[in-house]
Amino acid sequence: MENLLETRSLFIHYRMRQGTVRAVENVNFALAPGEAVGLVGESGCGKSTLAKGILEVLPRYAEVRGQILFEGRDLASLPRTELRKVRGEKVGLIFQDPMTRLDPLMTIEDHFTELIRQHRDVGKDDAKAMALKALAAVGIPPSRFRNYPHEFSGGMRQRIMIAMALVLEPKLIIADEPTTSLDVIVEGQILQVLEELRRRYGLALLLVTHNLGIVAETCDRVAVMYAGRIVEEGPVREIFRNPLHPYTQGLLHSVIHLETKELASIPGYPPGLVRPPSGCAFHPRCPQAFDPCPKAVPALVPKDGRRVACYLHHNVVEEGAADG
Amino acid sequence: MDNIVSLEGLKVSFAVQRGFLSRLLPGAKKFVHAVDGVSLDIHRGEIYGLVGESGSGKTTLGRAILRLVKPSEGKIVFEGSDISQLKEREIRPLRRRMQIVFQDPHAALNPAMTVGAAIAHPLMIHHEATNEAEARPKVFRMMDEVGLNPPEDFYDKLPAEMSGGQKQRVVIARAMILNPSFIVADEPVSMLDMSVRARILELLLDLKRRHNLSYLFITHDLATAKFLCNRIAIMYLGRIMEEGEASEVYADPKHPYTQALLGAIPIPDPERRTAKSLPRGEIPDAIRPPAGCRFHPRCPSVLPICGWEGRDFVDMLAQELEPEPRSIARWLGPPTAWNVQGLVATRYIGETEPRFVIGLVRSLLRYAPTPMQEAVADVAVAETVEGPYVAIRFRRRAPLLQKSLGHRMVECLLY
Repeated sequence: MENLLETRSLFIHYRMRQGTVRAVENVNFALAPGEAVGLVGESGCGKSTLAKGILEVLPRYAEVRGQILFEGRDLASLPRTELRKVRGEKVGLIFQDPMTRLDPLMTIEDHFTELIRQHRDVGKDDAKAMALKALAAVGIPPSRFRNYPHEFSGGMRQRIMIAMALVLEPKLIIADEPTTSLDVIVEGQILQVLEELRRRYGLALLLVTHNLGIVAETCDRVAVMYAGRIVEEGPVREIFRNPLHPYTQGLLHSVIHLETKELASIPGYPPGLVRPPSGCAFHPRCPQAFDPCPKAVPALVPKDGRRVACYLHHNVVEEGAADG
Repeated sequence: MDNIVSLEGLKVSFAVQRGFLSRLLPGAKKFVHAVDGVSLDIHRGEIYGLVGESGSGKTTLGRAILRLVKPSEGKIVFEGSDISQLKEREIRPLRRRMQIVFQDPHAALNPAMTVGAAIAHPLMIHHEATNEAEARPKVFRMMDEVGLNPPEDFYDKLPAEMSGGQKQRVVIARAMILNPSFIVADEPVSMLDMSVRARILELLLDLKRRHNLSYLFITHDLATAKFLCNRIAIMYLGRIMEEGEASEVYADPKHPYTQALLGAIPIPDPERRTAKSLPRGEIPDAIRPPAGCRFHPRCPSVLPICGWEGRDFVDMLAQELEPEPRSIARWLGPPTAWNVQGLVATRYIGETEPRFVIGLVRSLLRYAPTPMQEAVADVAVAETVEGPYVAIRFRRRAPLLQKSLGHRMVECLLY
């Protein structure tokens, strides 16, 4: 099947006063139509930057190299207006805090009208019909159409964000920690809404989260990021059953769940991305590090039904990684 | 049993901020009862978990125990003496015995204060040291104990130069420096990465063992509470719904709310995906909590006697309903046209044929949960001087009492 989204040798660097922050390093990653992929890792591993980079909603000082293909077209080479079209219509975005994305002085109707009429040549009534349909799909009654964002609860606001992401019938939803600020019951409700819509419209989902429980429950595949790189990626079942990368193992062990008998953690802290450790960036924290680890970056290569970047499992060195 | 903290009927309410004009005008002030009649005992040496969603009142309860907010009613007994009515001046000496660790270590630390100064600060406030130099040996020992070692590497650092986990260690060291006997830990790990949470929890366990501490551990995360706590209380809209030994509550949750919370936790095992049945809606506004059991409008096991009242009918008019009940609801008018007084909801019907209105009400009620339908005593039209009105009257609810089931306390009419 042709990929809906693909990144090829993607680098995203931030030029800052203290040096270049290497937030995304040589990421090759693909998403098939209708597929749900979880992007996990500790804070500061580059997962949000990667998600934002795909849509080029990055700050000005970000430098993007490599290719981002959406339905086979390179987004980076598109003119600005075309890019905006893809971003607005083909890809829906959901963020952690809906309040930062909703204008407090605009009603829900205003938000939808503005969004729809920016992208579609439709009259007010048609725009309204589209909006009400999307809102109904997430469980917001028409009687709330003229309300302001502050008149909704956190869960309702997130539902509105989902409806806005859906209204132009995109093919992909990128959700950056969509339920992190919600309580567990509302979180469950939102994930159910997302799941149902995904099934109904055959949407692909890129879910950025630190919550491995959510990934286990909603995703087909998972990509684990560390210090800007994907270190392991593959089907959720394989990776949760038998994680190969010591970092993935550490992440999975440190989840506290209802059957936790013993606490586990990963020693140390994630490295800064201005001067990340040499070779495999995880080696200073890795309980199984050995000679080759600090010397060169391991490549992400297929192994046991997934891809993994670790010398415990192969000895392939990443090509041309040491530049920039 | 030796209790370090005992609460009896504790209530904390806050006046609701209103607009400028309405504050000038006389009239009844509105209150939020953030904590609404809580009684519990925290045994010496235990970790007592207080679990709830945002808006449940758990943080307010924790602060009230430390007298950081003033209780409006009830008793707070700390180490044998009632501190609920003490004046600020009288509480201050007690503060060395009771401390708090906040959720957000970044917000809890002064960005301009070095680690050493922050940890030494309580010693100076309580006149155990006159300057930083004098406090230094003690601060060093405490830093070493919380894992900020070697201390000299961290002593002059500013919060911005440290990771979240390290900052939380500073906050813990600052709480521990006066050698307290009781600590309120308010979501101490929820801002931290999963990969470092365990180390902070281990530190809390370690300090407890070495200093014979007792904790009130406040969290929204049931999994962490289960692992860490001896006993837990589940809080919802200012009330304790269930309390018991942590292992027992998890093995056999009694209250439907506890069951709902436990069922909602994502399981990190893709082999065990199951469809979840989640309660509808979200935690209601604490300004007007539902009558009776506060969970009743969302409860999957609700009974006719749980607290249905006029408001529940009016709320139906505003809900996200299927098209047919929605058109009936439209006939019955906006919720603002209705008047609610306890068990009764009324509205004037003008010239409309009474039997038609009663028919509409009855048809709308058919879409209500069966227990709510059964709770309706009658629907009738009556005359007043102002005109005819329709009234929906609910049956009186059963009194809601806390019940003991062995070591368990449950506040639910199913038992």
